Amino acid sequence: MLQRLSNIFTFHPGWLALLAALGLTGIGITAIATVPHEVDYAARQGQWLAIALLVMLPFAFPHPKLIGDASYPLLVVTILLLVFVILPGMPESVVPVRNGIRAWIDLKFMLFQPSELAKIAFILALAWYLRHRSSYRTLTGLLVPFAIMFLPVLLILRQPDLGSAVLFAPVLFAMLVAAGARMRHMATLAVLASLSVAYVFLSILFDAYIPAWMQVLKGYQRDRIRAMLDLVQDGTLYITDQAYQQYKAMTLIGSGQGTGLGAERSATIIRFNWLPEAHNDMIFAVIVNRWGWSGAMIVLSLFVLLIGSLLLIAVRSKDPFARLVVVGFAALLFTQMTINIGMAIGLLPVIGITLPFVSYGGSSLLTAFMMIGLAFNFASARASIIHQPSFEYDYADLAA
Amino acid sequence: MSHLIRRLFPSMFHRRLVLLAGLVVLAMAALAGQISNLTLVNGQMWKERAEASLQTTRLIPTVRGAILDRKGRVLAQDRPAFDVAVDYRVLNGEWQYRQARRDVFRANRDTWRKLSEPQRKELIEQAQKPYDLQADAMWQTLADLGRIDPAELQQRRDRIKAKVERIATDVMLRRQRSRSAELDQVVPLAQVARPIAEQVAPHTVLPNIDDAGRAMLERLVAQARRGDENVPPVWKFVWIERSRERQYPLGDMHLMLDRSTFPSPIRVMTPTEVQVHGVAVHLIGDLRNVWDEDVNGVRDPATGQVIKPGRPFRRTQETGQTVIDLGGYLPGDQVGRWGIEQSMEAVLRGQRGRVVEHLDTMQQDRTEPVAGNAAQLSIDIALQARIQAILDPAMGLMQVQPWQRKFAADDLPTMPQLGQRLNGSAVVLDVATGQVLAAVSQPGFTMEQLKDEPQTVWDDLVDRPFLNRPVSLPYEPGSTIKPILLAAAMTDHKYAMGEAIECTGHLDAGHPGRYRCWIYSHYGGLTHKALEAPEALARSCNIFFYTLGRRLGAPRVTWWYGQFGLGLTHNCGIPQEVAGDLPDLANVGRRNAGFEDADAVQMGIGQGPVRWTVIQAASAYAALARGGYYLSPTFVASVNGLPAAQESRDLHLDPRGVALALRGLDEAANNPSYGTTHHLSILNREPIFTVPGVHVRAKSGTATAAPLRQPIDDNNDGYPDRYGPPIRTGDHGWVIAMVQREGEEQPRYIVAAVVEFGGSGGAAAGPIVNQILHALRAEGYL
Repeated sequence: MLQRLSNIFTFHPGWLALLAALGLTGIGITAIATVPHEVDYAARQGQWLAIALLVMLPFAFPHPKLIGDASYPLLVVTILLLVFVILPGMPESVVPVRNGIRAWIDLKFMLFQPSELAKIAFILALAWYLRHRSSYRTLTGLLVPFAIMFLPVLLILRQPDLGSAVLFAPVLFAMLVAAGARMRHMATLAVLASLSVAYVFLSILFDAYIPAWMQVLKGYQRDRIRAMLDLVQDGTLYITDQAYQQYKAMTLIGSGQGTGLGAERSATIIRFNWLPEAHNDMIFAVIVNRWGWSGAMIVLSLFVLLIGSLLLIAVRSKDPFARLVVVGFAALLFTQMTINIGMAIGLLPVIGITLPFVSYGGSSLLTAFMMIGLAFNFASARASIIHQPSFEYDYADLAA
Repeated sequence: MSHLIRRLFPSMFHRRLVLLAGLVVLAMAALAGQISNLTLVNGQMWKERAEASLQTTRLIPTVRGAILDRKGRVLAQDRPAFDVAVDYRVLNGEWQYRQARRDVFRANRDTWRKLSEPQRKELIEQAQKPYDLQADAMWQTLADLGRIDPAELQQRRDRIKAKVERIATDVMLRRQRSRSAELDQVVPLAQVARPIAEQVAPHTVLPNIDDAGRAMLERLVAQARRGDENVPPVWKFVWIERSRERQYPLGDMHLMLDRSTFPSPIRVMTPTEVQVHGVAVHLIGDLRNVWDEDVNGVRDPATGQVIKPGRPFRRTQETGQTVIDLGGYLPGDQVGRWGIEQSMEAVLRGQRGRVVEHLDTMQQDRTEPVAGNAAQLSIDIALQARIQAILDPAMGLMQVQPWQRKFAADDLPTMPQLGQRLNGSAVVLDVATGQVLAAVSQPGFTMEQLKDEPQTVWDDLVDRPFLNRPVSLPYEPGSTIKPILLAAAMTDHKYAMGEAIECTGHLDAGHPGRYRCWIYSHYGGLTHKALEAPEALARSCNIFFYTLGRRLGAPRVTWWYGQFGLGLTHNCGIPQEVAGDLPDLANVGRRNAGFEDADAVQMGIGQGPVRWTVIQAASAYAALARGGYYLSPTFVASVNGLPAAQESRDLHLDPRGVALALRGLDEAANNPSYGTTHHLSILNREPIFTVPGVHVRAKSGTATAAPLRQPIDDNNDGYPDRYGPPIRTGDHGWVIAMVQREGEEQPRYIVAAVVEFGGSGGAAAGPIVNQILHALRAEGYL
């Protein structure tokens, strides 16, 4: 036990990850305070941070094997919760409907979002499944990992919460790559994914010539992408409706210029520019408005530090389960950040995705710090005795 | 390469992590690139856009300038009007219900949860009664103040409710459809039932309340807003809103018309009370809403060149910057439609004001509105109304009368029959200034008619009441042009003092059927014998003036007529003025261009390729009266304190020619034996001019007119597409008089009148001109 404690307190990349996470949360709280609001969201976020740090602790200590053992049951529970929220006839006092989305369970003291938990459960279960196998190096062997992904994704899409659902595929991809799946399989998947994205874009550009049944996206989703394409080309066609939020975000970001407008001026500008979800999905726009290009670069650097330290934990770890879990977390946080910032700066269409650690929101902050706790745990775990190094298929590749 | 990587990272897992890290770096670079682009490269542009949201702009309306007559009487003005509007939530009872519900909830806070829905409903209904009574009392007060029947007010409220509910239903169904499509499931209407703007906004229930009512309401509303207990709170939801109304206060005028000097068959010895409607409506004009062409101008579709410039409120410059022109037009603005309202648009319009409010600092930048300037017309509105009354067919002068049927022998069925209404126009022009004192067009119309039955104004293509005849309809001058020609011929040495020209009834020996004198045609071959200038004019001998026309030649006749203002518009202040007809001197030498000998001969007696408007005729006579000084006619006395711009030129007429012409006109009006404008020949030679103490010189004209053919509007666009058979034929009857008080040296006024297809000029137009002279006396001008 003493050994374990001393392992925790010696310096390791887990500390770097925690440092970066705290830095991002701090910036987030300050930025949330910039947005004029009747409710003091910054103070609430501060309380959530305290709770999140407490919640982080139980995840930082248990032996990774315990966590691994719990991963399948956790996934089952999560899936049951995901089913629960979309059960027909659920009273709104238990499953509130917001913007037509049924994603929350009202626990009276907080709104709990099962899809947040699902992200972690999915990564843990997938890593537990992949850790000692090599079956995924065949095409048919990829079916089970995909099945593990599809079940929660389909349930989340039923809510419908597209934002959470899109995160799963990149995470699966990164974990499979790390676990040593064949590159030509992965490359094929990447090409297929790019082709379908290309098809979506082409079907939007030429939607007048394409019958409705061949359209993948719904009308409003196509409109948003069309609006984004127009906005990137400096168009003003959609800035009062479909592209309004993105246009306002870009306005606030651009007007931050090099060093930002400062707290007071920034609050005024934000107040009269009516940016929807400024404290939440669009918090990055607030940051750049207040601290300018420098602020943006600090945030990006902190994310690089966070993801880099997670990858470093993976590098240093010998435990295949820990390795994959940390890679999965890195992929999840990275994807979420890229999409969130990408939509704020007009590179990606707007979907509801928060900026991890920075955006306002209890559920997402709790989940994010759970990940940090687990990563911290894995970083400080003593090396297990391993029969053979994991995920080393160099010679197998050669043999094939 | 791959070997090197394997050496560096012997573990495959590590190599895979390096690959993933590489992807992270790529994505980060893309994000950093776009962030730099937004902040560092285009930051300034975005900053300007962000700061633009810190301002709101409110426009302050301006006041359109008044139109005054020459004596300063107001002909058109903007009158501030105030409308009473009531919040929709009071209008449909929602406010009353909510107040009651709140009261009931407060009173039963502890037991509320236990109450059943019907119990709550009953309690609320009870509590709502006093609020309903409040509202009813308010509606009653509004009906009293607006002096309308409460039932009428109820109907207005019902109409507003029906309209708003219709819009709201449309909006909600649209919202429901789009939200359902987004979610791919049926969304209940309740989820999208947010109120629309109209459901929380005030709606006008009493337009244009009077000042007393307004003062009382403002007090009530202010008290209610202050929370005064004596005023029911429902008054908080009443709004007094400023609107504007263009008024034409003298559009209808009342006067006494003395008909004791009318020709004896229609003479009435007691003065008649006359209500004149639509006074000067052709001249003053009206307003309409702006069209796209007022805002953006008109371009030639072929060349893209600007034909008519527009004046938009916002103009985007080539640099992409938007410039605001406070004097420019916004949709919904009013703009002059015809007449002075149209021509003086730029003067009358004014410029709106603007308040730019900086939301962050609460500072205001105010640009005050600039009121439009007044335009003063040369018209005397009382004289105008009087002449309009004289030209009212009901008074008898603009009806076909027996004494006008001098040559009934050659009557055709298409000629106006006894008792038929006649169209025409009359003008009074001030000689010294060239200003028009009155210009009447018959038939006219009224603003009410235009509003209630516009088709009777616009679709009557035969009588064309919308036409401002004095400036918009050219007529053949006939003999009225003869004095002009005489003065011109004298100046050009084509007629020598004392020369007598022999009238043989026709111009060319051996061609008795061609270029005949009127006396020869109508009186079985009678001739004037040899006549000298004044008498030839007084007798209106055609042969004399054919001869002068031929001597001058068509180009010279054309040039002279042009000098007297024919064939051109003169910017008189009425945009609808036309140029009339005159051959174009640029075409001299071309065949059929109006320069043959026949044209010269015909133009000599005011026929052939020449037509003038009544304004042009009066103005040409005024030039003669000034001894050969031309001043273009104008309807505008002053704009911005400056007199209207007028063309002027000295015609360098031979004074002896002018004297001969004036003497001829004098004899025509005053010589009892041969003056053609002296008496009504078939009414026992009753004199035409009967105003004592006034010296009249006058010339009549009986101009052969092109027949009026039936206009046919095939596509119903209000413009004739082709013409059917003639429906009116005959001669236009003219009289143009120069008048002054006896003993004065120079003529003061020109009075011109024309009666379309009225036959003999002296008989048809003579009594009208005489009555106009009486009108001038009645108004103190003579």
